[in-house]
Amino acid sequence: MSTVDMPFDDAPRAADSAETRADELVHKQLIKWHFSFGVAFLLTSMTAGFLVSLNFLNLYPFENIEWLNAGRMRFLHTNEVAYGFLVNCFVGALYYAIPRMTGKPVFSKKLGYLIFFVWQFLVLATSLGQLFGFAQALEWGETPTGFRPGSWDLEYIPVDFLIELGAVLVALQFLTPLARSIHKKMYVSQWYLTAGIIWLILTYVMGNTLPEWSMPGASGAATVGLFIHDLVGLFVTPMGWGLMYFFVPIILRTPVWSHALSVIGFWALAFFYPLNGVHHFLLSSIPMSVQYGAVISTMAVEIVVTTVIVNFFGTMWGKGYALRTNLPIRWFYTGMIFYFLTCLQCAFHTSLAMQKVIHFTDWVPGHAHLVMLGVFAFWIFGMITWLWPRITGNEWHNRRLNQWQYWLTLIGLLIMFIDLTAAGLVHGAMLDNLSPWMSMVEALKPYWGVRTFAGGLILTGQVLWSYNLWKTARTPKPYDYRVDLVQPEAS
Amino acid sequence: MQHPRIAWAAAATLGLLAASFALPNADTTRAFPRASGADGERFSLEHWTLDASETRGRKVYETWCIGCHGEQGLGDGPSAEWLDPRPRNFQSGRFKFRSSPSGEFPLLDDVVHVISCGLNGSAMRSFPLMPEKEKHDVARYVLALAEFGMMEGEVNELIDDDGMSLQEVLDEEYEDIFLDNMELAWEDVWPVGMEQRPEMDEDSVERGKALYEAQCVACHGATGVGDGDSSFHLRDWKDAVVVPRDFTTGVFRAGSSAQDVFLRLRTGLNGTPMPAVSGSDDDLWDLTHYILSLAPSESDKSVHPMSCDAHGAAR
Amino acid sequence: MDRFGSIITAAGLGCFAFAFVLSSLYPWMITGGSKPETNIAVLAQDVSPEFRDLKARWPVAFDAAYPQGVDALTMQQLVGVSPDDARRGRSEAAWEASYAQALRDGRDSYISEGCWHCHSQYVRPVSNEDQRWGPVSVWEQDNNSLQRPMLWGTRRVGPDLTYEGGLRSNDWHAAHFWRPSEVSPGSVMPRYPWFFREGWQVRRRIDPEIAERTGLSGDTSYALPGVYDSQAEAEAALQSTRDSLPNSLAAESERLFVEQGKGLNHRGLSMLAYIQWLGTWMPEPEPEAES
Repeated sequence: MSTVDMPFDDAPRAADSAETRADELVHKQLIKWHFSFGVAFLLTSMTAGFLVSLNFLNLYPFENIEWLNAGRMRFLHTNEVAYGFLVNCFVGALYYAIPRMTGKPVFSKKLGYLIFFVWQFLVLATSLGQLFGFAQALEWGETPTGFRPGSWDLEYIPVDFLIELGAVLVALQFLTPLARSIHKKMYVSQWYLTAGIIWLILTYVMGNTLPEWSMPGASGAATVGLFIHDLVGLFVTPMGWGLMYFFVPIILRTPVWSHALSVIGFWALAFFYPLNGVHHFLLSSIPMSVQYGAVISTMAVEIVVTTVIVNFFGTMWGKGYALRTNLPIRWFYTGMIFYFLTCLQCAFHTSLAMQKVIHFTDWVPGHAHLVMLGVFAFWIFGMITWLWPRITGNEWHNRRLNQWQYWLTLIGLLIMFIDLTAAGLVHGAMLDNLSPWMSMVEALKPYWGVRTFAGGLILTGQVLWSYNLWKTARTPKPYDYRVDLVQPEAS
Repeated sequence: MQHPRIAWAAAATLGLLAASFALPNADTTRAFPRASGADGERFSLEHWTLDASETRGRKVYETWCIGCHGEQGLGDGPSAEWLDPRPRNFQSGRFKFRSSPSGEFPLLDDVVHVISCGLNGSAMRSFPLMPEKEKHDVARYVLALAEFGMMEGEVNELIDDDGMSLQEVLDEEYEDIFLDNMELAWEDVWPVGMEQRPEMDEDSVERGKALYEAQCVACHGATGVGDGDSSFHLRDWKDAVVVPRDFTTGVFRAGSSAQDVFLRLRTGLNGTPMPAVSGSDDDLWDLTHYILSLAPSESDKSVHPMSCDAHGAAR
Repeated sequence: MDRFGSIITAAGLGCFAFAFVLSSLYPWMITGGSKPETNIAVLAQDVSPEFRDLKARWPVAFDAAYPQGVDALTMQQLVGVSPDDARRGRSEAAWEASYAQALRDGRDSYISEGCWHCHSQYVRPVSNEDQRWGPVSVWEQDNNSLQRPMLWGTRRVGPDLTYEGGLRSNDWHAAHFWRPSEVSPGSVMPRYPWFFREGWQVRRRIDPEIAERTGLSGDTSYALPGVYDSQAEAEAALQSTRDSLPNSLAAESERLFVEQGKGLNHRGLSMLAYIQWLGTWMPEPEPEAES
């Protein structure tokens, strides 16, 4: 079992030489910078989302300013979350996880700084490009191609190509230690991370070139669907699970429950997940054979997901108290429950009968928020909450603010999810029963109001947390890791 | 009588029928308005009482129509400045697309038809999914606005010129004015008849062409594209530019079927230089056939797949 | 299977390639790949009546936006031009060239404003969509360069636009882009004031006699087509309008005046051209092969 190779972290033997060596492999400054920018982009993205939601209530404050228009702000919301927040925070966490797992440093510290600066530049160039009208018509990949749509006339920074280069550098940085690992066998985290990095490069190239320059209409839509899904399924998900397989055992200080289940989980993800792509355009003019294939493989994914979830709950067996005592663990497992829910949703709402009602409606953003915020952002919140005192060396400024963040975010997300799901059903039913369009819009406005309220709760949670992160980093106060060790409560 | 029960039932039914005829018709029982008694009060839309259907119609109107046609139906909504042709001023009582005789109010169905199908090529969009009842209600409200438009001038004239207060007018003169106006408005509103359409053959088109050249060329032009000598200098009742139809597109504002074209010819377009064409039904059918012969073939016509023209019926 | 190399080849490359072939290449082969896409120049050969109407309504902005369309003649300008006059041929070519330009620019705006996040462009065979929007979509109608990148969209916060072309008039769209909630009360669509240009217009006040007779306000006036950048240009236009008035309308010349106003600009015109194009193109059906 390769689990025995897994390095335990912060065990009571922290002072021994192996641990010190492991710690030296990690570039804490880089992690801190990546996390800081990730959280900053999270805040701007959530603010953009909140503003767009105001537009749905006819309360948008900047309706007369061209580059702050709600339509363009919508680009910011999704792209800053994907490229600003998720990528920054995943990369930050990789700088911690990969050297400790493999016993080897990353390719180069200087390359790390180069990647960091290039990446922040690209995220900013993306946001500005979108605000100034150079967005690409590729959902979740509106990063400017820099070219006039469908042509080769350059009119802006070619962000797409630079992101490609950045992704290759990231691969060089992290695949080097993964390839040179001091352990003979690869731990399951390493599979996910290795494959995820390769998939990111391939997915990004495919999605940003084919629909733009060679595939019109239906075939373009099939490829865009594939891109959207690969970006979630072959980049975000492997990164997320890879890091979960690393962090959960070291925080709970126990090996994963079943190596066999993790093998099934990984290979089934690799096989089924990318086949789902076309389910973003069901009942369209894409050939039905492709659509049926997408529906069936989407349902297959749910089986896979169950194995992974079972594995993690098995890992926690006997240590359930950690949910109460340890905030990172609580973030992780809440995220896993949401992961199970979203995938369960996927399995039935891609059926054509459900699609008929819920496609084009608010149900889908409800689902998307559940998976992006409820799962991956929750996991990242957990990781940063766990790592922040360790990389800054400072005790939390105020631990209660972290609890506030958890509860505000959780409650806000649940309200938003339930609300948007209900709105989706209303919307779908009214489309079906041929209600006049504006009656439908009026019927949805109360739901949109609740969505804005829920968004406000979530945004407040993140503002409190960011303030806490800021104060913690700036206020020297020695941190004793033993405070966060998971141990049975004194009854 | 072998079956007295049937006899009783028949008698009761007849009685009920008779009673129902005796009941006043909802259309004519508009409750009389009341003045608030304020100084210098003039007769305005808020004094105009509406029945249940019209009240529902006003709600629909405020949801869908107010942006262009304006709060009072004067065709002066906030978007009106953009629009050419301008939105209809309902209070003017001039309705272009009717099946009632020239110069008259339209039938309720005419208004409903315009709401259902829109007016091709103008900013009046169609409302195909509006429930039938709402269309009916809002059409009733539109006609109520037109009725009010007739009344307003006369009542206010009494206030302004004769120095009466609104209350005095309402007490003394209003009933007569109301009954006169309603009679004037509605006594001649009936659907103009049309004889069965003869076959559209070459002879008919030829006869139509002769009629066309005699009556229509000045505005619609020799080739029917609407470029007659006077065509770009025409003005409608409110002195706005009005352009004659281009028959070669084959698309007409309020429907492009032969019946629609016939009705436009027979009834004219109130408030525009387009008069009702006189002549027998056969003449008008010939003229209709000639106009239709100028249209492109079905496949070349730009007809929207969801328009009434494409469906051949009101939706 | 848990070595670095096997993860990279089997999972990283293999699984990705398998899915790519099944859900991207295969649909491409049986749709777009089997028949080359129609490019914009060909699409623009069928100039829509709504596009011609744009020049009649906003001639100044039109000529500024599409220099290649200066020779394009509107209905009014064609009066008296004989059918075999060379100007007619030049006019048609100018219409096509400017239409191609407008469709392209309009599509670009449609992308950069994010219209496609709230408006879909395909009709499904379920949910009574064919009764609401029009015929169910087939892949052939999207096999053209204006659908590359494809703009199907995945949400319907606003109506589907597959068959928007010709459904509403240009002036409706102009009013709607200026302030959607005025045209459709309650609409949540953002407004697009940057599709408009401020300038000077020639207007005509109504005949006082008509105002008197109809009870309309004597200040009622109507804008003549064209929004000019400067007051001087508008004054010049006023003068030339005056000169061209026939005797029967001589009285009108006194009622012309110049005032500030607004009309569509390049982006607005292109957007309208694009929207009015949607759904108007369908490739010729292929003749059935003899068996």
